[in-house]
Amino acid sequence: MNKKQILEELLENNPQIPEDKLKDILKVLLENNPDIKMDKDFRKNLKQKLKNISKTYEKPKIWNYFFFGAPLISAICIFTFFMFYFKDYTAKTPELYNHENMIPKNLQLKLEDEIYLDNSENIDLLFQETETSLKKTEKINTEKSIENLEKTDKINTEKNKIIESKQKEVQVEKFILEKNDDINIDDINIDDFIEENINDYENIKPVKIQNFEEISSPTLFGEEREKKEILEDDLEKKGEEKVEKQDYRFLPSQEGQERKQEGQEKTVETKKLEKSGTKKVENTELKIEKTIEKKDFESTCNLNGFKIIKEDGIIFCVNLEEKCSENDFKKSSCSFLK
Amino acid sequence: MEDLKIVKKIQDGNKSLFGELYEKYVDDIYKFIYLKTTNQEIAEDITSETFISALQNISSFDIEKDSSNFKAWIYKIAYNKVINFYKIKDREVQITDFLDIGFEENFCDTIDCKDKLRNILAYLSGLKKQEKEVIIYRVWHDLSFKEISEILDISLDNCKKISSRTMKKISANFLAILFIFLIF
Repeated sequence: MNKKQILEELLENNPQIPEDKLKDILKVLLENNPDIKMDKDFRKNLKQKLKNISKTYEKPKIWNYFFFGAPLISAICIFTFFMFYFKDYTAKTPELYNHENMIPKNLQLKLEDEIYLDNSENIDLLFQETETSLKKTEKINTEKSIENLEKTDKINTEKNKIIESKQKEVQVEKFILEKNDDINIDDINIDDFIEENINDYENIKPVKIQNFEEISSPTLFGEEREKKEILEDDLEKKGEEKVEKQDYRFLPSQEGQERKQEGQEKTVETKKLEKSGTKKVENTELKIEKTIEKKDFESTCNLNGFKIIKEDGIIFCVNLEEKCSENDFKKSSCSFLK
Repeated sequence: MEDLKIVKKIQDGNKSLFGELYEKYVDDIYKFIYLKTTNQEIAEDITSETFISALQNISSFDIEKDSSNFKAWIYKIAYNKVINFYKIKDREVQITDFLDIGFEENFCDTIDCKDKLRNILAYLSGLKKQEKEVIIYRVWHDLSFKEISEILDISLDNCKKISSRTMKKISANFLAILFIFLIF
């Protein structure tokens, strides 16, 4: 303790007090300064406690960062380098690495489950399998499309055949009418008849039926035949009881042209009208329509890639979930067939 | 090494240097606290609290200030800890209470020490609290007036005035003090 300094201060601050008196006072005070000592163990323990606390509060040194950080940073660097290198390598050799896109999903799964790409043989096998599977799918697709085309062709040819035969029939009917031959069209073979009368037959304008609606409409030749029969009957059986007045002035030709025949008023027997070819035509038409409808239903079903099954004589077009009959198709109530 | 240099190093991260400051001030701080609490256990608790608090808050110590003084700073912490302790206790033991509590076992080693302390404190009991503190801090704890003014939160001039007034009082009664010493 700096006794002198304290004394100087006291003298400075208390100039009115004599120096000796201040010295004595200071002496008394300093002599009475108690000597207080702390426990040694407490002192040690407190030091240790402070050491421990200082460790937790101590800032981590830079080399510590380096010690832990360096391996981490180097690992990241190596990883990034290899990532870039691998990226470049795959870009340079796409044939080795882009095969995944070529493999169908089922094969990819198989690959994951079974195939181990450890050697090139497996890769070759995998490619072969991929190629074969792709070819198979292509084949199936082409076969399907060909089948569909064939079916539509068949339907069309059948349609054309029906139309042609009908045309021939109508043309022969017309020919017979014009020739005024007393030949029943039901009794003759149309093709043979055409061969026999080929020269005359060629002079007749060909009847063209555009569609099935024309076939289904009542033919005009039936009316012409009726007219002929009526004329003959009129000459033979004049004054019969059941007569009916009919205007024959307008007799349309097969092309739908109006042919005017003036001043002809004849009676017609209603019974004879039944003999006309209209009925037959109508029956054929129904048949044709039925076959066409059937064909249409089946072909549409086939074209859409659905199955056709027969149950109790009814044809059904079967989807994975639904079933549709021909009647439903006609009513257009089939949700998957339109 | 100067206190401020050590403090700067501690602030830079070398906390282990706090041990040097601990060794330098632990006895004085313990004495300072003990004279205020007069209880060994309490003094030890408050001493450890003071040093731990100093270590934890050393980064807040401003070494750039001209008036920065680590000794004054750590004494201030101790002083505040003692005040807080008595705030909780609701009563501060006055230094004059030494006379009444009948000295603790480890307070003074010899009977002579105890007698001397009793005599001087008996005389000092006639002084005001701040007057006693200034004189004791200056003479017994070797704290400068500047440091005392910082600890007590008073101006330096005020601290000096208090000291001067106290010395006048003591000199006026000096004969009485000597008489007391002679008797005992």
